[in-house]
Amino acid sequence: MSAPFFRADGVEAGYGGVQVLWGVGAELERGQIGCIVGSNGAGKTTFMRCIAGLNAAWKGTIEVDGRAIASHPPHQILSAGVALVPEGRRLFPGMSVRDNLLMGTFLRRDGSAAINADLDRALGMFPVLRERLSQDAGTLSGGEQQMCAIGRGLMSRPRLLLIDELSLGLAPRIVEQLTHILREINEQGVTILLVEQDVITALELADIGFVMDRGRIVKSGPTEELADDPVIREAYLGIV
Amino acid sequence: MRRFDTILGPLVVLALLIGFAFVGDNYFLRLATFMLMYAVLALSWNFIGGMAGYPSFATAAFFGLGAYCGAILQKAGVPMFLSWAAAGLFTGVFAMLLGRAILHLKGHYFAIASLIVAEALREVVNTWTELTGGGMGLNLPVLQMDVTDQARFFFFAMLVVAASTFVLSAVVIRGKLGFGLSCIKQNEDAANILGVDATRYKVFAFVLSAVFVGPAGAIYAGWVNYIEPADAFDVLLSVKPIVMVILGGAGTLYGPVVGAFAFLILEEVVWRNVLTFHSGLLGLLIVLLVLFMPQGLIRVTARRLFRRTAAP
Repeated sequence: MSAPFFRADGVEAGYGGVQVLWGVGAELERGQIGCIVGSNGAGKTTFMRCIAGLNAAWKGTIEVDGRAIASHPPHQILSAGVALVPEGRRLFPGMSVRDNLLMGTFLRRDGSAAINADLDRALGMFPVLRERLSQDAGTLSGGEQQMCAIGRGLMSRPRLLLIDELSLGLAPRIVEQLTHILREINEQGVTILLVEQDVITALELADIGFVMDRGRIVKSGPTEELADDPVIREAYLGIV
Repeated sequence: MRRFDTILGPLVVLALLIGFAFVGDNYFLRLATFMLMYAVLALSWNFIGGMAGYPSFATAAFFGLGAYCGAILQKAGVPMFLSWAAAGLFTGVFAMLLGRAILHLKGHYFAIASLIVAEALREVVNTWTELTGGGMGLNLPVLQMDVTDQARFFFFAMLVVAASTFVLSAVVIRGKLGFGLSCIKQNEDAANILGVDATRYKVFAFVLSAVFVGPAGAIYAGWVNYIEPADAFDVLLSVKPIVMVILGGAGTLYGPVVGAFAFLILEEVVWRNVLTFHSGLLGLLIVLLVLFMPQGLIRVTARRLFRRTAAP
């Protein structure tokens, strides 16, 4: 059997003297959607930042398509095809929506024709953004900002898209819209790993789930199985 | 045509400055040389402070280092122009090493770290008497020239450095580096996520903020013929450029130049008229200016003009 598309093994990391991740491992096949769920402070965001290179991994390996990326600088990881949509969106206010989207192409060298085609494709996915192209990104609503951030991530043509806190602070209707779009993106061949605190949404959307607790993956598997697991149902879904 | 429009303004200013050198008297030449020196410092600080948003107080360190580097080399017999170039190179390398050491710090921490560099260097220069003359200072060879010719010569030397700094600023602001720096200024994390190699960009901006300040210091040393640690590493050399850039418009191309010009005029007028309270009054004026035009002089006029034309 060939090696999985995304593989993390024994990842340890933290901030200063405080260790947050205690040997996190996860695997995804090409074209799958994975989700990481867990309570606050479990280390989900830290793990995402480790994959994207914003935090150094103290120990362990992270591989994408056979290429080791652990503790590489962020720009190298991005050119390896891994894009992060960070928690809280992190758009550049004061810049137009168009410029924010184009920021995603900072490292691309394949010319403006290809970039414009991708911009068009992203706008086709998020029609709202087309109406707001020249508007200041700081004036967008929360949902529109998340769309813009996902669009920006897509503009780098990632093969693995990381999304930290997809639904945080968004209306349920918007979340539903976003999950449809993520499926569409996934069908176009992009592997997705997302962190989601809304466990029901997460388990519905993803193929594989990872349950994180106090810096470790305590359970993982196909989402249907996880959704039926009595321990998970009690701890995260509040259903007994 | 638009391209021509954008370089027309700077060319006119350049022509005026050159013409001015042949009609102005020594007093005005001295003022103009100072203005050009201020412009170099302000444009340089703009790279790291204005574009990247890192409040550097290292300008005085670069200036003093350049001044001493130029002076020591000239005393050792190195030709003047070569010693100026060497001052630039030396300061640039110093900034690169320093930048790698302190650019991971942010905000106040970075400001303090950059502030103490000049202090440390001053102490080194103070105690290294064999090389630097210590607290007694260093005399430079006097040029065999008529006084007016000499003033004109140093004016032109400063003009070349200022023009180079300006041209490089224009290139950086319009290029990928400037774009990356403005992203770092807004949100360094997001810039990293999008593939901006923030560390490399910041170090580059920091080096840019030093390479022209070094030669300016070396030229200054030749111009005044005598340098001493307290003068060459004066903390005001770090503070004034920041004030000029904020006064003119941070992160813009023309802002630092306008700010340097405005600052020099203010400084000179206040100093001449209110000798006993000049720094107090100057400070007060600057506070008022920054309070009422936080975006800088350059943006105020641009917005006014825009409003006038945009009205239906």
